[in-house]
Amino acid sequence: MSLVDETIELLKSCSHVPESVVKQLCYKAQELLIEEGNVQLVHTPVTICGDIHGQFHDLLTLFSIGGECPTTSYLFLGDFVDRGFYSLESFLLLLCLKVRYPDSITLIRGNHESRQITSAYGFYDECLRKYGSASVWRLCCNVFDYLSLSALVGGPGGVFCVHGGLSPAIQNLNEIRHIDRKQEVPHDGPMCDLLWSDPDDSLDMTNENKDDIYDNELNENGNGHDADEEDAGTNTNYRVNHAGSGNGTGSSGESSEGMRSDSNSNDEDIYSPVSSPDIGLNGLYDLSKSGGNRSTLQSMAASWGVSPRGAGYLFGSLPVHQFNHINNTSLIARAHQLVLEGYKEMFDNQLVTVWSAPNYCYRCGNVAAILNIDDNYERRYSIFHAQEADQGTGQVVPTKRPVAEYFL
Amino acid sequence: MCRLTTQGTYIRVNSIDLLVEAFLNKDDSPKQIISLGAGSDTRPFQLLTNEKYHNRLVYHEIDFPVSTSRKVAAIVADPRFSSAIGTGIEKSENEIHSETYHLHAQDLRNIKSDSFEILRGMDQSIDTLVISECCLCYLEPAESAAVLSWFKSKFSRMGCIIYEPIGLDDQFGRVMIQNLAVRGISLPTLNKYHSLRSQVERLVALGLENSRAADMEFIHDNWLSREDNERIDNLEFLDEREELNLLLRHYCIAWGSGQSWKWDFPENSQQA
Repeated sequence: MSLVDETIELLKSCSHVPESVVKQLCYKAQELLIEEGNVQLVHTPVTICGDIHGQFHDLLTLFSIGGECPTTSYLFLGDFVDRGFYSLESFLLLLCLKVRYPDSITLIRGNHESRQITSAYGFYDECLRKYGSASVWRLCCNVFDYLSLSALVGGPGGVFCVHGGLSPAIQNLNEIRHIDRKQEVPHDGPMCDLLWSDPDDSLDMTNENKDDIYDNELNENGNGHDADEEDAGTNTNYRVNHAGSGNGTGSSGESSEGMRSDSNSNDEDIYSPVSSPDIGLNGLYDLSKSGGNRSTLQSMAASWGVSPRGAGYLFGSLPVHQFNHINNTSLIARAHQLVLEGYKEMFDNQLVTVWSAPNYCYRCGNVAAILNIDDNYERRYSIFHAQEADQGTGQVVPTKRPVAEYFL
Repeated sequence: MCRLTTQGTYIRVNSIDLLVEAFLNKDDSPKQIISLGAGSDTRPFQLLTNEKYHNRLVYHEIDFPVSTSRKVAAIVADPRFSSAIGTGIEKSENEIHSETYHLHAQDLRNIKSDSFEILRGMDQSIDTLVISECCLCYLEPAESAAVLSWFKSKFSRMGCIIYEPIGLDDQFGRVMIQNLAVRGISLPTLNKYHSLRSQVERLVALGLENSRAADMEFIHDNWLSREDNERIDNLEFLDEREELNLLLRHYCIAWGSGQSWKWDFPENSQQA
């Protein structure tokens, strides 16, 4: 039995993996990953998986639902670690599979595969707890730096896969290929955006006002705007409109729907390019930095918004359609956002969010999904549920009882 | 404490503060606040040291003796607390009383029969605000209704603020109920007051005709200042909003008052 097979067995029995083994595994994985492109080509059929977040038992369920690797080929969209209690086991299992079956599993980088984020959201603490030092965490972070940024499933008409989403600085796949990815995830710029951005329905435009935005508003606003980043930071125009926002009384509210009434929905559409046409410009790069075509960027300005995450951007329908058109792809598959139903298609089915951590943080009650893309680019989703924490003797791995916090 | 919890606490404390201040500032007449299951809450010390409310606010806190005795010790040990509650301090092991502050060691479930007398220092003639922050939800529905009825029968000029989980009939709620059960916690009223509507109806049934409710996501987005929200976001960076918003949608504030006075707040949620 090879070292990798032994390690897989160790992991599945939730036994301690010696640091020396982790080291070998990480070095071997780095050798493989360094050869991969920023847009890694992946053959169909493949099963695309979203965030795992250290939910090791659920990752085992995922393989039992989707089929074991390498019988089934997998593409994981990042966020293997943090939040769940078994980040290390989850990441090591994926690394083992990568080393063992490099052509049957692709791992790309999520925003949590970063030194800064793992220091705050659990993976660092977990490594410290399990090894008494940060050395294993450091080894893993070095692997993170080598993970690819995206993948292209199939050829023409295929699926572009990325953890977060699009970047206003990126029009085509070649621009991704030019990124020097072997570094900590930066705080801004195209590499950051790919890992952090989110789609946003409210940036979507109706056909009538598309013309306005292309021809008038954007040019007006865009011409006078030097995409000054300070300006963008202090712009407060996109605040929820407080004035006169009539809200339904509680007695008209439905369960857990807040006090939103229809009359208020426009006010909440805080990034709406129509009510606040200069907003989209917040989302623009300094044009000189991005190296992009000025008029193209301007025409897309209203489709970009400020991300509440503090990194990356919100993007609307237009950039998705343009990206798929320019790059001859039919779908953008991404993860990064909790979807209670496991997956969510948006923008005329040109983008999908896939979420693979069921009952996220042991609290959210959501189901998880994986997406199989076949040779004809047909999509088949499989849904799965969280493993019950106290299954007793049937338990594959002893489970630490999670404590989910509430506001009590 | 995890970042979501500190964010949730920030939103709860600040939004209830807004309602409390609206109550205190509606006019200059004497006011009293009665906080149920007050625990280690420090709101009374902040309000009682606020010059605006000098000589016109009396603050009552009620909790189990095991909880109040800890609070007595904390107040005695820290001059910032003991000076905040003013003069005329009398204390025992479980209770502390001053001219402006009363800490009552009581099991709320005793406070429900007509014959139960009002507690020391309570004034039946003045504007009274009863606050339950995740307190009444631990009682059986009948008991919680009886407690509120007792207060309404004794304090005709009563208003009420209730902060509780809602919407637990969905998947998130079922997981929450399971997770809490594992920790030995059950919240019996949640089935009965499971929605904003049922929370409002609960207050209206009590005789508080001017009642409303909003979930905490709405409150965060609409009541709290954008500057403060951004400041908090920057103090403890949250890399995603989905989970926080999911939690916030499962908590609400319901607030109401009767004929004697009306809430003058919040402007942006006032509607006929």
